[in-house]
Amino acid sequence: MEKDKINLLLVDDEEQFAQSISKSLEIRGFNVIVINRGEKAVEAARNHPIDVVLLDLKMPGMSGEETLKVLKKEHKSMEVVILTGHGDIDSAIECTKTGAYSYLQKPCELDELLESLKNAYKEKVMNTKKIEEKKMNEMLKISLSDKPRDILRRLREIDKEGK
Amino acid sequence: MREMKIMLVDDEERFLSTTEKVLSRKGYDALTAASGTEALEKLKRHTIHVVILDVKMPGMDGIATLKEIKKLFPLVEVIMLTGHATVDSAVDGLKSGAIDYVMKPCDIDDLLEKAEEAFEKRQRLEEKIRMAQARTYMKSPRDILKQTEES
Amino acid sequence: MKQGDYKRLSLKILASMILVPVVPFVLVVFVSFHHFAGSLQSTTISSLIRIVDDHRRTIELFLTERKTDLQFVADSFGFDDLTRPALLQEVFRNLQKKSVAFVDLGIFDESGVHIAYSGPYELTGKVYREAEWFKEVIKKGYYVSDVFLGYRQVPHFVVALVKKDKDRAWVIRATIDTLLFNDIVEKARIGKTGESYILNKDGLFQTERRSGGGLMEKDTDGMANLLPHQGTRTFVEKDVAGETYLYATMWLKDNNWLLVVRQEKADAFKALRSATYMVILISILGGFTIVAMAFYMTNRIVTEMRRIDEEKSRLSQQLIVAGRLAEIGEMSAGFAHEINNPLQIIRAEQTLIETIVSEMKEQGELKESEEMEEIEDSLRQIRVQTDRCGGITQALLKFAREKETAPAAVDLKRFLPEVIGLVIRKADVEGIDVQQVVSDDIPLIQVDASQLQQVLVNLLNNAIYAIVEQHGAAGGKLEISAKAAGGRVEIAVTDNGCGISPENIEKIFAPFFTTKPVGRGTGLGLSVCYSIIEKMGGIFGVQSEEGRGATFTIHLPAEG
Repeated sequence: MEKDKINLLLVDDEEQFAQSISKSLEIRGFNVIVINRGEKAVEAARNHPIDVVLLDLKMPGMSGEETLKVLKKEHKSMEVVILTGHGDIDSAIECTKTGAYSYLQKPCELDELLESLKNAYKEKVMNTKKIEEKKMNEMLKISLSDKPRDILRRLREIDKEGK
Repeated sequence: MREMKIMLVDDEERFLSTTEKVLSRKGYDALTAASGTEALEKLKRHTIHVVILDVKMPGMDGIATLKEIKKLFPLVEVIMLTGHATVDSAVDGLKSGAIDYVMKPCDIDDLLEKAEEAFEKRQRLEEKIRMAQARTYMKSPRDILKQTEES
Repeated sequence: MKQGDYKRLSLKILASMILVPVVPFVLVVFVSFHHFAGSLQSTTISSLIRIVDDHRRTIELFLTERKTDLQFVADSFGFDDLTRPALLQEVFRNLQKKSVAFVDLGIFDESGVHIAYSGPYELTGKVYREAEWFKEVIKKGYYVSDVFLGYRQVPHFVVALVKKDKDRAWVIRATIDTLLFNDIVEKARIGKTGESYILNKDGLFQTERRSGGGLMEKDTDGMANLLPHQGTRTFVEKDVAGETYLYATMWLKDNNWLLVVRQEKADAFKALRSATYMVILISILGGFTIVAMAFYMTNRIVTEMRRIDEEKSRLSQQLIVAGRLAEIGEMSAGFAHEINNPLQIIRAEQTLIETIVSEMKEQGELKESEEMEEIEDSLRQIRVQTDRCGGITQALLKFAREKETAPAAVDLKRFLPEVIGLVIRKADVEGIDVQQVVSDDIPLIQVDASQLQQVLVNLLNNAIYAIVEQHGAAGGKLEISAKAAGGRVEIAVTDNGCGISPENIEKIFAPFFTTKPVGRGTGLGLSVCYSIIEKMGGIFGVQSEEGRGATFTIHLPAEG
């Protein structure tokens, strides 16, 4: 994948919709991976360096809400934009609380979607920076303090946290 | 009296007075404000842990008030409470730092539960911050040097 | 557009469809006919001129030859020789051999005495001093007479010339056979009625005319022809009988004879007449074709326009309904929001009362009693009812936004009987005969089955209601049909119930519109059906005749 492009994971079980969106996003400088199930999306996020996820809520199998929870848990810096045809306030509240970057309802203007995805990407970059800084701070702290065994343990902890 | 201080912000006068009565009967010390400006004013003068904030108010609306509160008093938790719930305002409120978004009509007990949760979470966080601070104070360069020498 | 507008429009189109091709068509026909007539006339006239010219040459040649003959005789033989009858006889015979036109030959002295003669008459000794031709020949030296009767009382004309010897002058004269001359002149034949003849200055026939006019008779037809003129003159004139002729005339023989060639105009323009018939025939056929085409095209155009207009008005009707629905959706969302605030206050008040009551009970200020039970029950009811209101406002908000749908492939062959099963008992009770017609080739459709069921049950219930209104408990008929209709599936629910009046049919999809008595219908059924079908990408339609029944149709896109 190219470095300057935004790596997007598109999760939607409506194939035609996914194809058309992924085409228009690719034209606008995104690397798009299209996935049609929540379980596969979790798998893909583990194997690829994903910046932003565009997630449908209503899917067979693992629901969008669950997928969102897993993704946010496993990847602290990754941002998730919800795009759903069956939006309601309760799910909007739940998703936002879980950490979705934004919650869009179909039909949605492409411009609106693009803006949301780009902002989500900026947020992701910020998140990564913050995490790196935090890591650095922690490392600075330990490097002068604990015993080597503790240092190793702390390093492992930090690494795990920062992911 | 409970430890948690609540402030209700709503433009419905009767809602404020009745809810205040209910809360005080349940042992809570509650403040009320009829507008966003009044709420900010009271926050400056009183210690308040949780604000229950209406989204739709004349003058400064709920979202703007929320943003202002989060800017000036980052440790205050805000629960949005509205009869005009929309997906956009819900997302907007939560992104702007509200801890929850509740739709009218709701049970006051439920509301209290959410407020307590928020309060406890806040307490834990503050505790953590205090602990961290304390640790940093403890670890003066000399201690560290000493520790290194010992090992 | 109204009926009258279409009629006016179709008349306008028809008029322009006829006028536009007819004007150039008539112009073409007229101009080409005019040109044809012109060229035909000029051809005819030029051929008349040519004939006149030919004849003039022939006649002049004939006369010159006769003159030369006489000249030759006069030069070859002297007066003395020729006065001898035997020699004259001989000479005459030789002349006749050369031209049978010679009838006789005579020699005259200066005083006009016929000295010698050879020919069929006995003219020797007659004195011609006073005869016209003799005077003329003495004066001019050469003369060709008009046709005259003379002593012999037979029409003839003579050619005479004067021979001047040293001692005397004498005259040689030959009579020319008018019949033969006639033939020469008459032989011109053009068409059926073309003829040529010669008149003298006084308008007497010098040759016979085929169409009537004997020798020396007066030509009553063409007196105006005798005007003096140079070269050939052409003109058109009517004869006494009223027949129009084309004329070409020319003066001959020192302007004494007029050569006339003429042809009946009708004959000359016979080709023109057949052309005229042709033109009329073409005009009629062409005109008929144009008019027929114009009618056909106009009919097609207007029908097409009407179809488009109807389509348009149907679409705009749907737009209006859809717009109204959206408006209502927004309004109900607004209502729901506004209602939530007072509900919250009611809830708060209820909570307060409840709290106070339980506190008072704890402190023993309130005793357990039946009244107390009632109060507490009532308080619970307030909570239940505010919850209910909250549920309604949430549902309204949800309706105003979008409904949860789960589209899946639906097989109407299986689906429709299920739906009918939901209402069949109710229909049976009302004595309604329920029929279902589902064609075998019906394609699958991709819709939310529960929503489609909601719509169909609504329609079936409405139909049953309408049937009961009209027929009571017997004689009702209800038919549910489904068939493929060009990439779509058409589902129709037809009843023979009370139908819908024309003023109501426009409003039936509007929310809160109902004809049912208060309490029996919310007026939301059909508007909800409408919005459901629309969200499915379908078209919802209705046709009804008041008192006869109604048909609701649903067109849904077929899968694939």
